[in-house]
Amino acid sequence: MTLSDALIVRRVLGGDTEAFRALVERYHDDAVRYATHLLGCHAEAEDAVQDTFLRAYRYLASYQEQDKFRAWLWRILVNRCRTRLGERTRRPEPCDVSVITQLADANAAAPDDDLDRTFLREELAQALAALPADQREAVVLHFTEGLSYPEMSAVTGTGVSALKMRVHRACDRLRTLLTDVIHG
Amino acid sequence: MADTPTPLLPAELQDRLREPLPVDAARRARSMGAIMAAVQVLPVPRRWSLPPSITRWRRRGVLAPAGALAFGLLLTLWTGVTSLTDVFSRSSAAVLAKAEFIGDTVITRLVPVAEETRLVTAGGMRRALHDTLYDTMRIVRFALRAPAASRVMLVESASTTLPGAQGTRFAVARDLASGLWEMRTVVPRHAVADAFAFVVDDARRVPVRTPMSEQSFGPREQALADTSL
Repeated sequence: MTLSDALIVRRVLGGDTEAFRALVERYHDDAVRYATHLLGCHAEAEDAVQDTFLRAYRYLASYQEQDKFRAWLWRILVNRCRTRLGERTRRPEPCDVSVITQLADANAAAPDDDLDRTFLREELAQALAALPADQREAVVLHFTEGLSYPEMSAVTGTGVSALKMRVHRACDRLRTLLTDVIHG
Repeated sequence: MADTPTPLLPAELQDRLREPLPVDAARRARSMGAIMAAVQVLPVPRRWSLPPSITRWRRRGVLAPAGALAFGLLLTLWTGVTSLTDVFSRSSAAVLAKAEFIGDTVITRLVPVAEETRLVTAGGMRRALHDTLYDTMRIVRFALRAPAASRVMLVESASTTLPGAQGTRFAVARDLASGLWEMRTVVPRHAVADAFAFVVDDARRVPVRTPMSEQSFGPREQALADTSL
């Protein structure tokens, strides 16, 4: 039987620290995927996700059960990723191990994944990296996480119309950058 | 789910964005282990809830009975119990003054005219009007022994009396048993006895004399006139 997020949170607040592991297992992979798409670096994404879960644990008492835990967690994650992007702007530390290499290494363990898909994924990662941070954030939240615009607005603190504009422009840019890949 | 029906991106790209990243099990385990290890050393988060009276205040803008009681208690302690007692005593004095009539004229609501009325000084509170009056005024008992008189008036004739009351006549009440015409009124502290006079039966003027002092009514604050009328 799968426990609801709210019940797990209640247990953690009741002193059952180990119950938090269920939340980590439930959302870790999605959080890493989002952070990887946004930061473009798998190692940095894992750091951001670790920060996110620690911060979530520390401020778990402020979580209101009427909210979705995932949306609450994503608010923290989005802020952590923004912070890391800001730090990267101030102190450029290029990620040596790019997401492309990471994925390529990982795909070696997946024999049924054909080369075209791998190539498209690499191109997509590069195109995402070429987008402005706010547009990248919007398009990843919308398509990768499947959030609606109001949900995105709640997570990012940005207005719905601005988010729609960002997604629209990001898609235009992605289509332009990936024209050859899509039609090839 | 997304609420935009129009695909902005080709389906193939959307699929690539949505598909989960390939998982390196060892790396994932390490990452989650690091998170849980850090969590173990952190203090257990606690949800501190406000007392019900406070939350009701936040929800509805009103206090629960217990909260109102606590608020009143705090207010009492803040203003001081002695101040509240003073206010009560002063109210009592004001009521006494309000009930005091001279003839058909009410002296004033705020001026205590009975000798039994005590001045209550409110500690830590603003002085009321009658406190100020007590500083500059005093109560004087005017008495006239005139058993044969049928009507006695007290007349103020000098400018040292109550402001705006020059020439005012007060009807004086008579004690039928003793034949004593008597009234108490408030006069300026430094008013002299000559400023007052009794008018008997609308004809005779009997100057008020005091045996204690020529300049004022004396410490007993009593002016007694005797007449054979």
